[in-house]
Amino acid sequence: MRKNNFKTQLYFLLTLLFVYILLFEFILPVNKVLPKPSLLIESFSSIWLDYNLLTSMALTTTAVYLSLILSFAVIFFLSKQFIYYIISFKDIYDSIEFYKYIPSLFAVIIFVYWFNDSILAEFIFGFVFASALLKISLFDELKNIKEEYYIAARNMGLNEKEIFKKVIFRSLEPALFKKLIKIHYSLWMIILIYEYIDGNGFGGAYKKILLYGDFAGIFVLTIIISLLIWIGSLLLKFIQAKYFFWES
Amino acid sequence: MIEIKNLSKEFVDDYGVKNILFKNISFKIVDNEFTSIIAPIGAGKSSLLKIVCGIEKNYSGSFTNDFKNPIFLIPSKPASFPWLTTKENILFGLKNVDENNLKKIIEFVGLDGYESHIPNNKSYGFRFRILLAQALIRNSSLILLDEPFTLMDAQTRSEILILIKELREKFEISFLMATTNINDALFLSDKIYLMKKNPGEIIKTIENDFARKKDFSIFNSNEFIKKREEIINTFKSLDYSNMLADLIV
Repeated sequence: MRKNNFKTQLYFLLTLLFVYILLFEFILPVNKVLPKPSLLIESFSSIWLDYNLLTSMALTTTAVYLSLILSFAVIFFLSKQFIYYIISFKDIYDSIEFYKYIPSLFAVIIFVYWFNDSILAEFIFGFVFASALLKISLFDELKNIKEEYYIAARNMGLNEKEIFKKVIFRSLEPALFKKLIKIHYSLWMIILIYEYIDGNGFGGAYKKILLYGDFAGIFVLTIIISLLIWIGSLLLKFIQAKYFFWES
Repeated sequence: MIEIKNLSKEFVDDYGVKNILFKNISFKIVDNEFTSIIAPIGAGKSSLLKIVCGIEKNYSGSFTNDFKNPIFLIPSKPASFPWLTTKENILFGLKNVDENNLKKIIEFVGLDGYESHIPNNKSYGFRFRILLAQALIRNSSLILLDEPFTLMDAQTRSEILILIKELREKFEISFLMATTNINDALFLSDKIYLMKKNPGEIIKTIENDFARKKDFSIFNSNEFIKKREEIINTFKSLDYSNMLADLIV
């Protein structure tokens, strides 16, 4: 079934590629919608030097994945240790839900305003952003605690603190990791916006590409970033399948 | 033995109104006996079981427990930890384990060969067996069953019914089951309490002698049908809200 699904996706992509090549290489080579396929291939090799993409890639991917790994480690570790106490703040979280109405861009602007174009600030921003989203996800998941697990743990003679640490938090882990995969996509987007504003990394490269009016460059850079996001999500899904495989 | 005297419980509903869930409930759970409470949905059966196993603390009345070993509650949705294997689930939280005893228990509940299986996506019957094994390995004196068979298919249900009867032959263990199902209660119990709702009160006690018989043909015996009628008529004599779910057809 899964194999068939993969085949269907592959056929769909190949068809799209075929139509794209046919349409934009031969029928409409000059247009403002999509660049010529041959131009994209040429641009693929030159763009690395033109915009110093290797350094940009190192900076952006480190900012995204280091923030993600650190926030995962810190939030998972701390929440697991203190979930028994965190649960008593569940209602306070409901009362500060107004954060949903504050645009994420505000956080970017204020960080850039405070720290200018500091690379360290970008890492801190990524970490704070990912940690905040993960913490919010945890509070959301605390509403879904299953009584059956609590009863099962009580049957085993565990005390309240142990129940929350060893059973309740563990039961929430797959849902939290699922959220982490979603946060991964949001983090990529917000870091790119951050970099676009402060001029570093891939976001900075976008800014330069737009400044030079490099039409093919926009697409090549997007393909590179998309590949990186895809590889990242594949890795995360692999970890999910290996360590957080169960449905509660 | 557990003796419950004048147990009452109140709760505040979503509109802030104080309600009586049940009042003046008194009954005994005797050693090695299977006791059932038949009551309609909403009578407070689950809360009663939670009070007996110590999860629910907010009640009035007296409650004495002479059982030396732990009380084990099997909820209507039996939960095993899906991140652990069947064997790890059974042994969760235990420090010293007698491997021979463990092997015997696993065989008895019908989980041999499944020790390394993850119970994720397994049937409720499978999970029920894990929970039974957990109770047995912990030498529980009393197992509380909260609507235990509602999520099981007919085949699994009959297997588990027989398993419980066999368990009672082999181990010295007491049961308290809360159910809406008359047949299950009559098939398994030594004593049955009928409980009404609005508010929850025990209205009748029925002594039953089908508990040790393992043959399903007793469902067709005159005595069984008579007892079943007696229970149905008791609930029918009350208001409509006290009709048992499986009788409203």
